[in-house]
Amino acid sequence: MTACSPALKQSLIALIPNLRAFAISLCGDADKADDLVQDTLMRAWDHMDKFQEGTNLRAWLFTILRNAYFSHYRKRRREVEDRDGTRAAELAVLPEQHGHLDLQDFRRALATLPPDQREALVLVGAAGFSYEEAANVCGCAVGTIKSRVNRARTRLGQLLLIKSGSEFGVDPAIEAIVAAGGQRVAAHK
Amino acid sequence: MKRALIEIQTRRWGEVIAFASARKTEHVGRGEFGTVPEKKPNSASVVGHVGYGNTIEGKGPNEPSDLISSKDVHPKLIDRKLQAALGRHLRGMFDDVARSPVPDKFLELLKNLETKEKEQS
Repeated sequence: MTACSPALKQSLIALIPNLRAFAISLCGDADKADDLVQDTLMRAWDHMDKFQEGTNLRAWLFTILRNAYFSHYRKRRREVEDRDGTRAAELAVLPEQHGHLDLQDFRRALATLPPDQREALVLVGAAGFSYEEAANVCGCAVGTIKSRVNRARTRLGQLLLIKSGSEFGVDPAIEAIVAAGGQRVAAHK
Repeated sequence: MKRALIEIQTRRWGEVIAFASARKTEHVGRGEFGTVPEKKPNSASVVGHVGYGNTIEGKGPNEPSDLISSKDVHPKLIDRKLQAALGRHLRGMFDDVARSPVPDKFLELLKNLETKEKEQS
């Protein structure tokens, strides 16, 4: 089998937190995410000979992880997608339950996105991949990534706006900037 | 004011539970925060903004919630601000985990894989 050089092994270890972050954003569950990371590490280890040193290890590992996710969870993914409408409806009721947007709400909003949109958004918006890199990781065209990211942003924006429309308000950060923006617009009139 | 204090408190991250229980004891049912904007203690909202980059100067207490729902605010502007906030949330969520230490179980896993490989060769 392949021997993993000490340097490569160190790089691999250093990227584990990144893999966990990506895994959690994909499956929305810390325990499942760690199973996914474990799976990824084992696959990566077995196929280390296919990795060309000097190329982007992070992108390579992310590709393995998302492939593992989409092959393992394909069945589940369909069920989740089917339930999207229901889940979005549940989410829209949230302001009545507790009036402001917090990280938990944000996670829930993110979880209502179709997996391919969520993946694209996280790669580009959180992990800092370029559209091209994200397209490589997902094995699709750059244009597809762009449109997925746009749709994801629009959808999340709508969900956040539902919340910010509630009288009690949103995350103070959002409320403050929206308020400040409103003030500026008013001043220009 | 008790309610004002509760609101300030709940504007902090991760205090949903405190809010839920406080609200349960004070009021049952909906409408408390949703239907009476005039009577809402706005000072609480303003205090809640300190430190979050509220750039309004010399305007006195304003009513941010009115501004949010106001038709005067250009939708595209709100959208841009929301998208910026969305981006921060997204990166924050990711970085929280990405900056945490590597759990021991993964180090052990790699050690085991290495040992197994050495035994095989």
